Amino acid sequence: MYKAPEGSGIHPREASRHHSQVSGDVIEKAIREAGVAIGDLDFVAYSAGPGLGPCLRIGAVVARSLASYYNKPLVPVNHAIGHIELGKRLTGLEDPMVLLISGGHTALAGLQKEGWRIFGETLDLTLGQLLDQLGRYFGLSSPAGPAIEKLAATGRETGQLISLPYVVKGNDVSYSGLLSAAKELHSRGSSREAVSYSVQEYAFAMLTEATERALAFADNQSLLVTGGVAANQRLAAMLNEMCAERGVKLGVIAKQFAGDCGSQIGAAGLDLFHRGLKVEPIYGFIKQSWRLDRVNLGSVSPSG
Amino acid sequence: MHLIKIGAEARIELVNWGGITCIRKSRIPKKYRDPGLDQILRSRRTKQEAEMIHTAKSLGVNAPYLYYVNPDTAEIIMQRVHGFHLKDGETGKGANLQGLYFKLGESCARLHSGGIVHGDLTTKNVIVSGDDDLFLIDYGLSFFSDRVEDKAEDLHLLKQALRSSSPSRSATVLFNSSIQGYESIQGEKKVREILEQIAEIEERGRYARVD
Repeated sequence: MYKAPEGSGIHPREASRHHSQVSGDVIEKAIREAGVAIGDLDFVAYSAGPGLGPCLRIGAVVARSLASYYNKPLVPVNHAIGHIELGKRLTGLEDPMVLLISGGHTALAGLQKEGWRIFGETLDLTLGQLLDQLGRYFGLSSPAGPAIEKLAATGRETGQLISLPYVVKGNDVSYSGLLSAAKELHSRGSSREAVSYSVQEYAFAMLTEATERALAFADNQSLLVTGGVAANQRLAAMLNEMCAERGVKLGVIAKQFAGDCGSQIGAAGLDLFHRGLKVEPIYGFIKQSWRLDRVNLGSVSPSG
Repeated sequence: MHLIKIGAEARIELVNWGGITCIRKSRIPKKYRDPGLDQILRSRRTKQEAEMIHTAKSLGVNAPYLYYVNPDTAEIIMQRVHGFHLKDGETGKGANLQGLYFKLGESCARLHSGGIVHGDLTTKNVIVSGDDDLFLIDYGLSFFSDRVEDKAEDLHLLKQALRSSSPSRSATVLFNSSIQGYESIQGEKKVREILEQIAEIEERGRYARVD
């Protein structure tokens, strides 16, 4: 996996360079561990977006090359749907309200006849970005979420919750004020532990509130939590408490499958393939900005 | 005491207050968040809602009378407005509906002129009382703002609410009545700005397209 230098985030060009260098080895290792030959594959699925352009492009080119060389169908997958499909498979929830939280997404979504509907989302930073940028500000390496969680756990022991901006508008949340205030707090002398603890408590409470509102509005009886930040135990505990009070069934994706992984693309790809949705390699595409509520359920071409 | 509903944030009950049947709105403590934070949020929001209702009235918008406000217990006891929800009126009054939606537009414009954004302008939060008097209720999500985007969100939500509960032709007619009512207070220029902003919100595709 691409590792960014400490204090900085993912550099698209560097990351894409890394991807092109290692992709051959990664694929070869996966095939070997699965105990199959490339010829045995039924199809090739790849993440077509949303994401960083240069990185998506490498993935698409590799997938397209494999598909055309071995004469396999090509299945472009929406990255967010990947998280959701894998989450549904692993938790067994059938028609849940989905809380998707990662570096690239912070949204509450439900599947309706016409497509995915977003019930609430972030108005600026995603939760993953909030935690990661706080971590980078502390000089930690990206992705900084797990490190922030550790600092927060220590901060929790001292019980020192510092007041921060709490911004929920309906089902939407806004984190940019929270991040600025957190950095300010630290520069004024508050410890990393106290700041991390407070940021988590506030950011997670905001999200839990928005989630509760969305659940009440849509009258949904189950909640699926997926995406990289689903691995955070404190957030899972808060959501668990809220769901228990409401009588809502909660399913949180297993930690090792929460972050970006091949399995999510495979899971979504499998669903598309079974519905006969695939493309000729020549029609492979990428789409850097691809909102969940713009995904056309009936085809694999990007819509909107 | 008679429970009307428990929403995501508050419990709504009918209570007897000095011989009058009133509504008690209590914001429920949430165990998932830090108790100190919980108390601050519930108290702050109670005060804010009471302030909003008071300011709405001073702007000429009908809102419930407030009998009792306690930020520490996060309770508000307010007038129970008699009438029917505008949402339910859709099956009823027919020709008069356009007039009602025109008045709704006027009320919304008055709120906005005072820098108040309602935040939850759906037809279930509008009560038609007595002589076609329109009451706007539930200021739990209201906030102060002069931003065009926030005002547009108010009307956009109304548009969405209409679309999801009425056949599309009447939804359009009724929404246009509201826009006309809004224009009669705020003027053509402001209305055009807002309509453009609504179009941008819809373009952004925040909500799934139903058409």
